[in-house]
Amino acid sequence: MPSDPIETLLAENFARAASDLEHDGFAERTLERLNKTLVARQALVWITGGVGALIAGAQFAGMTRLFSPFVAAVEQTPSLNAAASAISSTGLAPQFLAAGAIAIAFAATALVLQGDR
Amino acid sequence: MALSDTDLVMLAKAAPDRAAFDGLVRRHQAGLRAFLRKLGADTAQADDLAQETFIKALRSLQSYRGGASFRSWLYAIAWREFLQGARSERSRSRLSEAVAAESQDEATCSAGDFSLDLQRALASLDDIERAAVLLCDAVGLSHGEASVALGAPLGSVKTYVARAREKLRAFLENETPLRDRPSLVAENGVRHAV
Repeated sequence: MPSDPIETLLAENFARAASDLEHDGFAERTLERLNKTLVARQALVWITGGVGALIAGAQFAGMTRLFSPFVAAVEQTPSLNAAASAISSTGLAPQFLAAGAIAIAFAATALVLQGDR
Repeated sequence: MALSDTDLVMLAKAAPDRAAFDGLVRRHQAGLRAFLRKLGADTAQADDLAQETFIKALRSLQSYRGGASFRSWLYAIAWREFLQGARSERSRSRLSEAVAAESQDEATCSAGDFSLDLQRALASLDDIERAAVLLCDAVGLSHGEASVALGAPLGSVKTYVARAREKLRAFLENETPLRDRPSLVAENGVRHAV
């Protein structure tokens, strides 16, 4: 309970001012703007992820060619061979899986950067 | 039963549909805008600053750890927005112009006169004193919460508030004695309505 007359004066004056602003449509306008901001942010994340996937996909054909001499070694190493078999069992090309992983990493980075602004 | 700010913040962090954050916006928007207006922002500017405050709050909600009250955290964002958007000189001149314009419109209204006197008195304070006394005496934050909101040491906030009250008292007594103001504590301790 305010004890100082100035405190009382300010509290009552402020309560009146806030009460006048309670139902003037500002909340709805703000929520609409927040929605637009959220949609724009999600679009940015998807675009960034898509671009990341394209870039990654374009790189992998060349990269896998570089790795081909080591394929024989992989087949002779049980743990790596098991991992390669697991990837093969998904039915998806390793390039596609790697591109997907990088796309997720790009999207997550974009999300975090947006959130920190 | 209405959910507390803390509950709504927890839900807003967890829920992707944003309904909980909408609840926080609805709960705090009026007070936040009134605070920004009393600080010296004009109507449109106060609304813009309040919207920016909520957008920044939504973006950085995950970084809110709950050490301070949500309200003090929200007002801290608003205070920083105000400082960035309306530096004291420009803001003060706008406030003086707004007060002058309102004076003409409400010359015959005693409640309006009273409110304008208070606005003039607030305009005579330093920004930090005005913010401190508004947060503590008008918004209802504790000194500790105001300290968080203003990013100032607790002792300094107490000094700002005390100094601001003295300045307001002196200003208003020069205009009209405080006992003639509406809604003040009368000699028998009973509060009179306007």
